Amino acid sequence: MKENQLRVLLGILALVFIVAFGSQSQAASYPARDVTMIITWGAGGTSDLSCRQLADPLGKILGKSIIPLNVVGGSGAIGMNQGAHARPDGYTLTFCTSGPTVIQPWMQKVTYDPVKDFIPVAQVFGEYLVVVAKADAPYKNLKEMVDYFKKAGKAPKFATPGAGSNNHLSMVLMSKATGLAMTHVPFSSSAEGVNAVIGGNVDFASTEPPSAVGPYKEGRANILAILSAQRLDLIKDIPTVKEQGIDLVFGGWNGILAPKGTPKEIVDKLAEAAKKALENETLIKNSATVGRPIEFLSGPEFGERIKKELARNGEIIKAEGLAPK
Amino acid sequence: MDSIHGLLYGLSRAVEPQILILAFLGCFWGTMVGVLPGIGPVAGITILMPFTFGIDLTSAMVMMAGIYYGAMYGGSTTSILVAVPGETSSIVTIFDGHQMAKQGRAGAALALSAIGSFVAGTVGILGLTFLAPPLAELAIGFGPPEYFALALVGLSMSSFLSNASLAKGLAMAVVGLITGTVGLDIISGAPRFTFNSMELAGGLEIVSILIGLYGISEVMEMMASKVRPQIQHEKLWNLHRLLPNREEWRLSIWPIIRGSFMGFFVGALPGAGGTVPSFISYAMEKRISKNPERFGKGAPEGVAGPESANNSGAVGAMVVLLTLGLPYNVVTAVMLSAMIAHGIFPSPLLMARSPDFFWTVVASMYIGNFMLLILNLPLIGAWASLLRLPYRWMTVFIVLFCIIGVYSIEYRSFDLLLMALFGGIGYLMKRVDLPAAPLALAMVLGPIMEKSLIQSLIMSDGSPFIFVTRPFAAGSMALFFLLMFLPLIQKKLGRRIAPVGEVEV
Amino acid sequence: MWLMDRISSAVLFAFVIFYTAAGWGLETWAKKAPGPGFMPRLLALALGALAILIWVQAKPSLESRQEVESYSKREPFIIFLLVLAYVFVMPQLGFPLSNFLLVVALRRMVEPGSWRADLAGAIGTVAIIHLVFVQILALQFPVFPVWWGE
Repeated sequence: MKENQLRVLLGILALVFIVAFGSQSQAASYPARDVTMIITWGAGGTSDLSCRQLADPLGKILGKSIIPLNVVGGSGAIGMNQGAHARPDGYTLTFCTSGPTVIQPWMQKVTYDPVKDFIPVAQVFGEYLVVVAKADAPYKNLKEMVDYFKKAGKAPKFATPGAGSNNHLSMVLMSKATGLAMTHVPFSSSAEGVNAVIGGNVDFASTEPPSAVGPYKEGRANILAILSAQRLDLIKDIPTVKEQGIDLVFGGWNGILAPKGTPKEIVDKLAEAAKKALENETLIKNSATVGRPIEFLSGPEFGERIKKELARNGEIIKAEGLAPK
Repeated sequence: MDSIHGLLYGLSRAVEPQILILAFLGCFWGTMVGVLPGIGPVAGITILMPFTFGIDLTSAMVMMAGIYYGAMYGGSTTSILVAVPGETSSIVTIFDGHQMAKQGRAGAALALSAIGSFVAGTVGILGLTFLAPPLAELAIGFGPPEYFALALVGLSMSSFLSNASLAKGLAMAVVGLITGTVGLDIISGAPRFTFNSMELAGGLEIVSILIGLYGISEVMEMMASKVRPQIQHEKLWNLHRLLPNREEWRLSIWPIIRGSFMGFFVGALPGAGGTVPSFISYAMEKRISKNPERFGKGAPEGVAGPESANNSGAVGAMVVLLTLGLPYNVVTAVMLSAMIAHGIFPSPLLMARSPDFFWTVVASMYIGNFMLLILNLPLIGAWASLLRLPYRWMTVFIVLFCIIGVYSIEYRSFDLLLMALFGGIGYLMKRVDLPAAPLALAMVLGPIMEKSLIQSLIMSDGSPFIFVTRPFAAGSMALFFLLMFLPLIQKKLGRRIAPVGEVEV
Repeated sequence: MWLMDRISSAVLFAFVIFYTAAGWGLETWAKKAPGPGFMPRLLALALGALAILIWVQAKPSLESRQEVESYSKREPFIIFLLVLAYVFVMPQLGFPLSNFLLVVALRRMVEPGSWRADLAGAIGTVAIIHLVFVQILALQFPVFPVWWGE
């Protein structure tokens, strides 16, 4: 009997060692194959573009390809859900944007928890919004616009790519900061919003820089302000909202998330690779072209930001009654 | 650079070896992708993406345009052969195209489709060349009220699409509109009819439903009739029999011409693309025809017209893409992002600002159009021969085909479930004579209609007068009422311009 | 088509009731513009009216009873069940295996021939599909059964 028991004990010990070394080597050999990165937006959009721009240098640093996978729907919720429930082996990551991560959980019933179901790897880009108006509008910058409508006693109509989007939220905040009531007209994409502005169907739009730059450079549209802390390289002569006397800074972000339970070594490796990838010159140039400057935050810092913004948004959305019943 | 010079310059660039090869690859791949139902956009993009960063923008655009285009050509093939729509723009082709195939005229249908597509493509590209900027300026003024009115006009076509009673047709259209309400409401973000399912929250994927409604139900139908009809086999070596005969040509010429011109202008309306023109063409041809009862039973006009319209519509949609930056489907969305990434912004002034890019793309579309015709015509024989497969293989292939196509849209089993369910529903509909065409059209137009309606009312602070104060919208609304109630008015007056089918109230 | 029309009318009407109940909580009007419940209510109303119309319009059928009888009910239903089964089975069993089963089932159903031919044909089909779609086109179909693990 004793001999048998000894054998069993040795067997178990051996198994334990194998598993322990196995997972070590798993982390050490990561990535052993291509990594999938879920994009919660559709192919061809700016977020899709940014992720693919990042995937190229990141993949090279890691030694394997990063394969983007578009999982669309629910304003990003469906992709986030898939990313949250993926296997925590580091081979399925999520390229997240601020909307689905810290706004959507308040706007709809989602089946993921942005804090508990994910491990933040790193923040990579910043997303900034601009306010666009028609070229021949009677106001040339944000301050003038606010004054114009206040004097007329009318509420301007503004376009956004959707209810509950970053854009929408930023305009709600701006309405509060300026004391000007505004009416929201939701569209399905930034481009539609810009066209609506140029066509005179709405008074201004909140969009991402890439959709606005074209018409701006051609003189068909005016960019009234940018909602970032400082001016963006792409449109150097556009003043920020703050510069115009309105106290508002609103920024979105793009980052990489891993499912909860992913081994720390893998997360750290990814974070380091991301940091290095962000130093790639082509990436820096490309991301500037689409108006998403490189902004790196380490995993823990990123996690803190997510928590803070999630709480802040919850307050605003509840206070303004933005959530659909 | 004026148009003629631009075109010549573009042609000179378009015949460079690299561009030519890429155009060819694009067309070829696009045709394959179009033939496979549902598979189109995703598979196309997966292959494309690495390219768009590696090679220069113009080459990338040329290839993508080829894929976009080729898919238009390929989509009709499956519609005709096995009644499975390759894309939403090929649905209409099923109505008469498949009937023609059953009568042994598959080759003719395919040929009419290919040639009609070629002519329409040429017309469309000419339109793109010369009319793009003015059209764009016109389209910019388009806002929600116009979209709503146009969607209504499109929907009013549903009364012309089938031979069933008006009530049944409208009922099916309403059902189609209802399927569009499932998911997150675009305006308020509220979940509608989602029953707490994340998948339902994403909405019901149109292509999955269509493939089930047409493809799977067709297989079930094949199994239902106890008498196995022998599809008349074409004599493959007799080219005469394979191509359209003189009568078929005669009937098709005008529909092709009408479809080409109408398709381009409708496609140039933001949001329309190639699908809506194909429906309009079918309805139009049926309405104008002296023998409308032939439609639905293998009328060549029912293939030639819509197939032309959808191709020129696709080119029209390119106008919208290049000038307004509004993509119509996934392929055009990728084209858009590639353009932006390279610093070329869509605008009505695109022709003037980036002539190199614009003209090369346009020229390569001419060439691609040509290439596709040459690619497709010889293949007709091969495709037609597929129909000779024994029944037990046909069912297997069609079912697998549908499954693969649907699953590859988003890799979700939910789409397969939709396909299966609507396969059953489609079959039952056939049994009780409820028409599927109005349903399909309504599914495509429904979301735009509702969204535009609510947007318009927000814009007007709740006043419905916005629809009559804006000229284009007002005109379209009038057209809508006319089209909807024309059959009724005619009956009341005792006169009919052409019999449309049973009309009862 | 008298009976058929009545049946379809009834089914549509039942659906209207279901749809209305499901959309009960949606707001019809919100802040000067239609809310999420506006269109659904409108459509439910329209469909209900049309369903009644169809009922009323049902006429005695011109089609002879014989034609209706000539449609087999069993086979389409089996195909439907097979496809439905496939939907649920595929994620579990993986793509090639499910295809194989489906092909065999379909072949047996449509025109039973020799077992060997059916099996061979099934294997061949599955192999070609795997080759073309999964390998060459690199579409992301689940190849291995879920419990196989990767």
